[in-house]
Amino acid sequence: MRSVILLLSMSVIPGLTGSGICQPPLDDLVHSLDQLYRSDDSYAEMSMHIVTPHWERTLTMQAWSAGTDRTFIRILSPAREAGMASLRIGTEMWNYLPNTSSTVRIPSSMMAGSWMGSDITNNDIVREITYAEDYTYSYTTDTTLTGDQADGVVYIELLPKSSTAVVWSSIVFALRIADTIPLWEKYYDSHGELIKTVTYSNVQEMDGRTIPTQMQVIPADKEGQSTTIIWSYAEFNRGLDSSIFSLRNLQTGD
Amino acid sequence: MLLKLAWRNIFRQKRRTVLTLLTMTGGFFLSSLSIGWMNGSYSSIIMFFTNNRTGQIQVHREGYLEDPSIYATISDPDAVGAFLDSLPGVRVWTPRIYSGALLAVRQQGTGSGDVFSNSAAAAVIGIDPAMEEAATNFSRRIVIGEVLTASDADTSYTATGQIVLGKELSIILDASVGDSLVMLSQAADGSSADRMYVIRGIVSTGNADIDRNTCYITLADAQILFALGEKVHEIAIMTGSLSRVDDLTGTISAALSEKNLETDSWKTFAREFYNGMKADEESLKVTIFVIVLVAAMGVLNTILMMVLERRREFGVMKALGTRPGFIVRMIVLEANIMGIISVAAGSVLSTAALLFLSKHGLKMDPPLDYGGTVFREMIASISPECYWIPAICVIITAAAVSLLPALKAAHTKAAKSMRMV
Repeated sequence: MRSVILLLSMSVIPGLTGSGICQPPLDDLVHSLDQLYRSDDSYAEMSMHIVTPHWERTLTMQAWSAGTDRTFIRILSPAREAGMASLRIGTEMWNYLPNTSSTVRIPSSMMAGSWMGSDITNNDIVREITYAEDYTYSYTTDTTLTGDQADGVVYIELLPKSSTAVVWSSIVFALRIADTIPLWEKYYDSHGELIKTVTYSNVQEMDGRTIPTQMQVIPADKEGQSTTIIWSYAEFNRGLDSSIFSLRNLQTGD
Repeated sequence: MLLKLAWRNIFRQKRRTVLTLLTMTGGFFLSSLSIGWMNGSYSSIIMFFTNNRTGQIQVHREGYLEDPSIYATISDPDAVGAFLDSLPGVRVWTPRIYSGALLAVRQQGTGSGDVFSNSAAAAVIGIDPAMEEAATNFSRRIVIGEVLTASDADTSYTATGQIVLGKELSIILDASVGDSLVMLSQAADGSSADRMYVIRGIVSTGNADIDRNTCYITLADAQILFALGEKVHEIAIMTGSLSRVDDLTGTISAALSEKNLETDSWKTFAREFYNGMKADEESLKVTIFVIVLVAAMGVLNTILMMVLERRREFGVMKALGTRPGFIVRMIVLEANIMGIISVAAGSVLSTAALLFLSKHGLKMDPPLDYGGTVFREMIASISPECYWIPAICVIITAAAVSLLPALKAAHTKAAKSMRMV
């Protein structure tokens, strides 16, 4: 799920070399996953569409990021949530609540909880790990993990290192060899049961980078439930004022 | 003639008789007391536990108990309530809403920095202040401050509401009465909502696990905050007596099942408590059996001694031509007379003791803990079992244990037994 924050952070390093080879160097591919949405800083506008069996709603938001450890998100609509903001610095997270003009630190007991009612958890937003350093990885041809395999796609299984605290025990990525763009990732628990699937689609160029601009999270155990994030605008490495990532900015609004 | 003889025999050796009577009365008293104790303390623990929080019967949407979801609601609690009011066994009922939220506290007098660093996740229970008071006596468990009252928050989303915190939760949040509290929660329509509260009271239910993560707001407030309209999650029902609970559960269940509502008694929704209670009751039954057995042994012992002491006397009687059957009947009758006297005396004693214990109870040290609810006092109750079980035990034991020595005495050789002592 780290890719969520990477997506939210919205930063890309231009495509890596190695396309055309049947199986490109694994290290390069994993590195490209880490760098897909990462940059020195980024600004993005996006919408989040949440579907559950009981309700369906769309939130629009702005997101700023700097490096791997700072993120600021402000909700623009709907009206009831407009003005709510989340600031994350390192592993700490704060929410600004406009109705009560208050800033609340998210306690560690709620970090596994849902962010704004979506299938994205607070942990997904604050996670700082990288696939290259915190996971071991290998190509996989196991169709029980990947499903039907397509041509021109490689499948990589990532296993968290023992020092990496996550609730899943493996991630399987499907990447298009031609441009190293991920198609989907699947999270499995220790019994090999699917926890959730994240799909990437609608690959577009934004501010000079080619990235999937739509990402959908589908939890496996909640039927009829999904969260889709669609990017409508992004810019990278324009140099952000670091005062954006402050409690003061959280409270003053934008 | 037989009765007269037996009666006179009893008073011939006063010290021996008093000793036998004491043993039998003591046995009766102990057995009677432990039975009254068991019945009384268990029903009082159950009533205490259920009246304190859960009620004896609860109504939910089908499946809510297995999977409590904010969407599994009772859509017309007033209609269900009107039906419950029409049932004679229902003493009172109260509706509730359960959800979760993030709470953050700013201490009184710390200005308007608006940064709330003290935060914790908690279960939020929406209660109707008046109905909850009638049902569970909520105000009695408020340790600091006051109970919830109706406020503007019951009708307006932006108004400041009132909240009561569990004692341990208030410690975690470092909160006290009068402090401001912000609640961030997710409503049944998916929206996130934040709202300002003033802490009105601190409550201690006696169960620290619950008090560690529970807070209370008014039902109307909760319905607005969680976008639930008129709906509730639970209706808790208080009945007059424990013995009618199973019948009443059946009646309510039959009437409400067509609304897809599920009715359960405390044995189901407080299963952990019920099982603990049952296991304990079994072990206490064994204890009572042992007490009754010990009392019977005492009776056996004294009657055996009495017969052995009087072997010479029986020898003389036989020498004078008394038939063995007469001696047997006489001894058994003596035992029975003493048994009846003991039962009478024991009844007076145990009634007095049970009456006292049903009023005052005994302090438990250390206190009993059932499913987190602590009981410091056990109270006895008086029921027919307190009398007839020990009475039968004493009289049957007296008759049975006297029979064997009586037979022995009746069949001894007169000359031999006279020479023996």
